Amino acid sequence: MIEFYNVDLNIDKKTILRDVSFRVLKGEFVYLTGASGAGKSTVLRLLYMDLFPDRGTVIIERYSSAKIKDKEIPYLRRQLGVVFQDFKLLPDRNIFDNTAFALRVIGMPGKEIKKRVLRVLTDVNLSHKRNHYPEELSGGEQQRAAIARAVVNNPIAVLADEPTGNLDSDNSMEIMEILQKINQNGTAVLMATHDNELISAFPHRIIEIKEGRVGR
Amino acid sequence: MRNFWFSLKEGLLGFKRARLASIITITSLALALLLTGYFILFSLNVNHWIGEKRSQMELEVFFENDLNNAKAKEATAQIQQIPGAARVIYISKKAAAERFEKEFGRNIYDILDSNPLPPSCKVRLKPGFQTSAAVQKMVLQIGRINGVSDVVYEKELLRLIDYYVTWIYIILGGFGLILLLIAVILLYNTIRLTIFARRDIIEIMGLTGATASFIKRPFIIEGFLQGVLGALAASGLLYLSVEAIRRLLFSSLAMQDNIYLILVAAGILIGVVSSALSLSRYLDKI
Repeated sequence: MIEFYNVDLNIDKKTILRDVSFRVLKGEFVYLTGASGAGKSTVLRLLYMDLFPDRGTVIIERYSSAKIKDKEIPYLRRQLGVVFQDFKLLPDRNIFDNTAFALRVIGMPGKEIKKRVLRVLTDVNLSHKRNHYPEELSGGEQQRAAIARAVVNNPIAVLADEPTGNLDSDNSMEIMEILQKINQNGTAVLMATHDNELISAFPHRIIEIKEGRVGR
Repeated sequence: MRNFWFSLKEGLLGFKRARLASIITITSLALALLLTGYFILFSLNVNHWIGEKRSQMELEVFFENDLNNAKAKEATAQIQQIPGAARVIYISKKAAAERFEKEFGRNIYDILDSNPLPPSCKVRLKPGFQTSAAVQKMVLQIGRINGVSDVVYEKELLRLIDYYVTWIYIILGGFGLILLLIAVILLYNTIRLTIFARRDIIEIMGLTGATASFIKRPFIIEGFLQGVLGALAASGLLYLSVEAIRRLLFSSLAMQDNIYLILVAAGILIGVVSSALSLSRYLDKI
């Protein structure tokens, strides 16, 4: 479902990734680990095609980095839910509208949007805060809202870039449990992290990036 | 269609979400368009004044003194056929003597034994034939008609009008171009800054799978509305200024209603184009 074939990437003449190959299967939960600056976020950016490899190919379902056209990129991103360390919620609208945005993009009818958003906000225990703006929520709540937005469109995979990086351990555990639940419902999760405690508490396959290469 | 209503709603909400930026943009737009409106008003009145001066221009054609009334009338009819001649008024020897009495208060026969005033005619010029070059051509054509002895007009005044009008139009055109350029650059930068302030939002929308056109539409609608509101404010102020000038300074101030339409069209154009151009750099990668 997600495949990296011999991917090289250089940015400003600096090698970021070298000959990276791996696969993530449908419904799998995989950790992407490595020290800060190892290239974990770059791997995720290659997946949602914010970056393109200098050599090799990235494949997500029917989309290939070698063949995808610019106008197809939004449609690829609709297949993925992306969660960031800094949440990246839209500050100018409330949590309901933030979550609904992913559905408005695909032109879903208003009634269906309401139903789906309320269901997913209930799943992340935020339905009571649907009218709040991001700045009125705690870090943990904002990350739960970001996860709600990522999964509301039933993506094939959730890409989480250090989703617990800005959170305390209680909130981190809560986020992990939500991601576990999402994974149990059949959505693949690829999570970049360097938090070994979390990895021990929720063990899954690990892909380690070390100096731009896959370690194990 | 659903997306259109969403874009429209988002465009309107954009005002609320970025209230200060919207107020700054609309105010700048209104001031720039008001200045442009004043400039157009000034140019219009200069043009109007020049047109009035030109339209007052007329040729006086004197016939030979011994030309009889019938032949003079015939020559007048020929003058009427010349391109550029608008209204031609024939003045017989008798009518000339009556005019003399009216102007000087004395009968010409009281001063002289005979009437020395020749028959003549006054030729008003059609618009487009009120320039030095056109008049000179007409004078030559009239001079070739049998019985015409002299053609008189305010040659020097016409030459001066022609000379200064060219400069007035060059200066007005240059000034207008500079004004337009300043207004467009100022407004483009204002709108660019308001969009720059929302670049993170644009990036997040792109990551959520929104297409470039989906992201663009609300901003374009917002630019359109800012253009309309700025232009309406400018038109309102211009209207009040025109009324005040007419009441307090010049009651004959010329004004055309289509200037208000030009301002609204310019406001919309600047709002929409600036928004589209400013957005394109953030949407390149989406």
